[in-house]
Amino acid sequence: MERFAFLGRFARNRGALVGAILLLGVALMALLAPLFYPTDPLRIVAQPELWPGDDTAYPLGTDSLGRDMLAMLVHGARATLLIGLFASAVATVIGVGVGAIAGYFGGWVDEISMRTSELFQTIPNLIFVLTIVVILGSTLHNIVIAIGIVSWTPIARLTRAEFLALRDREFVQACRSMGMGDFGIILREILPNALPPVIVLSSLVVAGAILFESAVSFLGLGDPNVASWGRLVGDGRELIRSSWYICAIPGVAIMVTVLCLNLVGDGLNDALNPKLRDR
Amino acid sequence: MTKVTRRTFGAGAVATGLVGIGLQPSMAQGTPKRGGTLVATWGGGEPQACYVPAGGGSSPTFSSSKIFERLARRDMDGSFKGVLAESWTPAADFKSYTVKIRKGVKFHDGKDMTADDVVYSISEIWKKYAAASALSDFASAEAPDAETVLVKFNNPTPEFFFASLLCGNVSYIVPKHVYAGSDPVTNPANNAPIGTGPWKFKEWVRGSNIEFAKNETYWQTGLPYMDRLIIRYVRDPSGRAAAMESGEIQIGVFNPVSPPDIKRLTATGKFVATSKGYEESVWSTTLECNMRNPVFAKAEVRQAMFFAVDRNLIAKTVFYGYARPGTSPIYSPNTAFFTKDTFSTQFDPKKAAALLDAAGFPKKADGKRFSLNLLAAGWFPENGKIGSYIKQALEDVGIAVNLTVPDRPSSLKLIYTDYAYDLAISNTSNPSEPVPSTTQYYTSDGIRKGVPFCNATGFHTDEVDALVAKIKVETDPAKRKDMVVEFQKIICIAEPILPLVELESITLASTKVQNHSNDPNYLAASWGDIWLAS
Amino acid sequence: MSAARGSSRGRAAARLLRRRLIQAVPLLLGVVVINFVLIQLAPGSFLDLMTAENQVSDPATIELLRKTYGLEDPVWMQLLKYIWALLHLNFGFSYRQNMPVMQAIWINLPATLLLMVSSIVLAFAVGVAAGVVASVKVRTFWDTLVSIAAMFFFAAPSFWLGIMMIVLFAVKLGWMPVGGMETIGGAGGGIASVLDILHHLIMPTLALGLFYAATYARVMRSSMLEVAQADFVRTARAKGLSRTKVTLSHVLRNALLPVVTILGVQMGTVLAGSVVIESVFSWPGVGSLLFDSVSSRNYPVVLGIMVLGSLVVIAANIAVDLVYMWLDPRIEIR
Repeated sequence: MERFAFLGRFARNRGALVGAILLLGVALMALLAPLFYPTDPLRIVAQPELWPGDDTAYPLGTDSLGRDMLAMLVHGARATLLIGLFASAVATVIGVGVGAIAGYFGGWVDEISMRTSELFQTIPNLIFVLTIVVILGSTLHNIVIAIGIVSWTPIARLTRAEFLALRDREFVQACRSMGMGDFGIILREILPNALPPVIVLSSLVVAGAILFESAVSFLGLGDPNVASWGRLVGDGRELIRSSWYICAIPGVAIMVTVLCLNLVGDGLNDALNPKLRDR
Repeated sequence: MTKVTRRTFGAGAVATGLVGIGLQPSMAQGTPKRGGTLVATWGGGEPQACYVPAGGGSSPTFSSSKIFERLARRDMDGSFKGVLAESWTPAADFKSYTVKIRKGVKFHDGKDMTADDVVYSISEIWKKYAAASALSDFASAEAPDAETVLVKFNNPTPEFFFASLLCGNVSYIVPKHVYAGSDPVTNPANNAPIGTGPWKFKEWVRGSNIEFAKNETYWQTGLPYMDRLIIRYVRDPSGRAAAMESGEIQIGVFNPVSPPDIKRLTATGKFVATSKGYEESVWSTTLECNMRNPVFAKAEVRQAMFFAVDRNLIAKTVFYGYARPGTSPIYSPNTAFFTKDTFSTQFDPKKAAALLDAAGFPKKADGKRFSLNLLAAGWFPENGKIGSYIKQALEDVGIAVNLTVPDRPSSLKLIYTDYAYDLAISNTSNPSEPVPSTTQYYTSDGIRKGVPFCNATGFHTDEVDALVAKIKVETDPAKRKDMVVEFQKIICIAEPILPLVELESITLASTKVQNHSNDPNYLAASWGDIWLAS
Repeated sequence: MSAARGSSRGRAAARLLRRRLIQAVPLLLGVVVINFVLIQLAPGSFLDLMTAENQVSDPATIELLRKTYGLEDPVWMQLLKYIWALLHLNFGFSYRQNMPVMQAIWINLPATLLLMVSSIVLAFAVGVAAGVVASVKVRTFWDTLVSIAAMFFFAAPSFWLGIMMIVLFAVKLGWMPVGGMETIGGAGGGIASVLDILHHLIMPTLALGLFYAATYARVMRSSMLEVAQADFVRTARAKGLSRTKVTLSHVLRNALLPVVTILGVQMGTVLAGSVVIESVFSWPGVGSLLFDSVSSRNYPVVLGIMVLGSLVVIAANIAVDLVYMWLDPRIEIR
């Protein structure tokens, strides 16, 4: 019953609905990419700098080397979504871990955790990501780790707040009197209740991760084996006078995806907190 | 990110009959107009110091060459002309050279330039920093009198080699009274140098420009024609294009703007693009096979790499036509030594596949023969693009390729220290004199771990080592050329390093600029005779 | 009464300041250690780059260079020496630019500060104004317009926005310069130079600031709506004060609190964002210096910038807390 009510509240937010549908479309595009474009999208296939519409075989034109823009766009969706999801997962794991023990145990554990999160917040995030990527090397794995490392602090703070609120509740005290150990309580009792707002935040972290990755690729530090959208924009920079579509199209894709994620995140938030909905 | 500072090393004789590929600059003959300010730029960034004793790449070479002078220079027709030296004569055994130093030359601070400065420059600066590898056989330099310097070597030294040494990129004559007793690398004069050249250092506004003033007491009377020279540093190619279009900058050397902008600006008729002025600093992009990988043990496998790659496509799409396929470790503008008569590897994927089959690497069940790590050095953005194409081309003949494009310091370490690659895309710029810059890529003494831009492939054979040792000391020019031709033939069959393309560097100038691009290494020339028509 | 309150607020502020300054020390130390470790982990050291550019092939000379640049000490000793120097406000020497690190940063700092300040001012002004308008005209056309615009600018990557602006306003329309901070060759001194810089400043500021403006607009809007329903506001309305006066003096002041909080948090990201924008617009600021320095493993400069950046964030947070306390006297920040 409750789940249907949740979905119902979500669907009433039209923006979130549109966002969810579009996002599903992007995800489908990513999944079906190998079906429509089985060969490596980074292959040179045609004359460079063909405008969209010049040649029906290449509806979005070709880039500076002669690669199919549409193929790269479709495959780029996979890279973009995967990086967003995995980076958010890394950030969530770290953030929930730190926040949970900080909120539950309190005391000096809390102090250290909060000081650490403050430390990571103080260092300007993109600069930190760039440095880490340069050090570890420009592969997908490293970019995911780097983005995860700079994105966990808001999740930690939220988890901590939730745990602070929940740890003194009666059901927790009941478990303690039954003899349940600390970690059992954390994992099985408190965490499932604390998770919903964290999930909402994670979805926004996905959007942030996508923006980070596109900035890193734009600056030329992305994985060269992958046609990510940010890299396409970066590659097109020297051709903005003649072939600005090379920059424009992938950027629109990034914007639409991030926008959808934001809308969905807002929808989730509203659905979870109905009393704050009419804001 | 724009191109990072590049390296150039040494210099050599220019060949006769150089053909500039591309448009010719329209040089109006007429009386040079005196006075005025010239604003120049180049395709890279600001130097780390105005003068770097060991070279430091193209940027400090560009700035310091206006202030300092060398003992000799090459002319566009290939002959050597004295600058601070009037003449040089070899001894009968070619183990020493007597150099006559020009009289009446003063440094910018008024002190005379004498043989003592030359001796100091050669023994302390060239030997230790500017030309260390080239001076491996150097014994001593002495000044029997104030106008003569005697340079002694341990072995016979060919005249071409010696003359090239005198023209070395940063083989300047520096003032002994400024540098003696100090550490030349950190001497503060490097940021406000004192030389003998037509331009005096005036001011360096960091992040913006270096300004030079006319040297009123320059030994070539009448020069320079202009009053001020400003080198403007702009980070971004489109910014340079905008500045040139608005007339703020009149000349840019070394690919100042992107190829589409070159075409656009020359189409207006107000600009001229030329590839003259780079014959002694030809850059090439190379594909290097790491011989330590047993897959590359057979020459046929290495040749197959090169048959699989369409170098014309690279020249056309990656460089917009401003490049030509390379064929030999010696570059085609070098008519003193270049030969076309070498084993050629035209684009032929079928032949590549056949060679690989014959060498014992058939396609396995999954269609792959073996896999390679391809490292494209990230200092030029084009290398990454070439890497993508080569990955595709090799995969078409059944080789699985993993491409990485590390940034500059990582690339330097991975290629030249760790040797952590199977195939590497790198760059080199060599002068006409093949020893040591070209030969050090193919000899065993060129294998120096941790030293960049020398033998990183690990290739060496006794045959080549012996041949190069002979080339070093052969004083008969005809015999020497034959030996270098033989060297090329051997290398082109062994192919440890494929010259993918020779890059055509372009100078873009307003049609008002006169007397430019008249030196085979124009970026490193002193620009004393340049002038602006109105 | 107000004098006493003023001085007690003053004392609270002083306490806060002292506490935060003390907290800043281990924070900065942590920043330094993290960054130092990171740079050391990087493959390819500064020396590799120097030897490449210096074309050094002689091992003896390489050793000489190693000694000259102090790289022969073990890593932990290099770190200790660095921290000791920092305590004397000596950020080290950048061999790449041949000048002290402070000087290298100082040369590039004004450009970045100009960009950051103008972006934040734009973001704050535009965002707050838009948020107020949207909340006052809630659920009308204006509200929808602001929401849609905010969504667009929040989702668009700033570098892409910058490039699209260059394509439209510089390349196609020719109204704006393609990049840089000033016209090369100078526009002539005095007012003309200032106007020239402002002209170049417009697009980078927009590209960097609109994202934050979108955030502030959304937060301001929801904050205004929330505060408008609070008890003390209804009391003020009941007392007969006009809607405008209530909005401006009561609601606005309290609604600003969340925005001010976010402002402090975002200092770090604005600095980080300027790295990308400076690359897009060839803006000669600290971001470009940082990018060059990371690429060339010039760790003294990277550390210097990171430390100064963290200082800026810490200072901004302290300032935000002080402003917060001033805006809402009921709160004392722990």
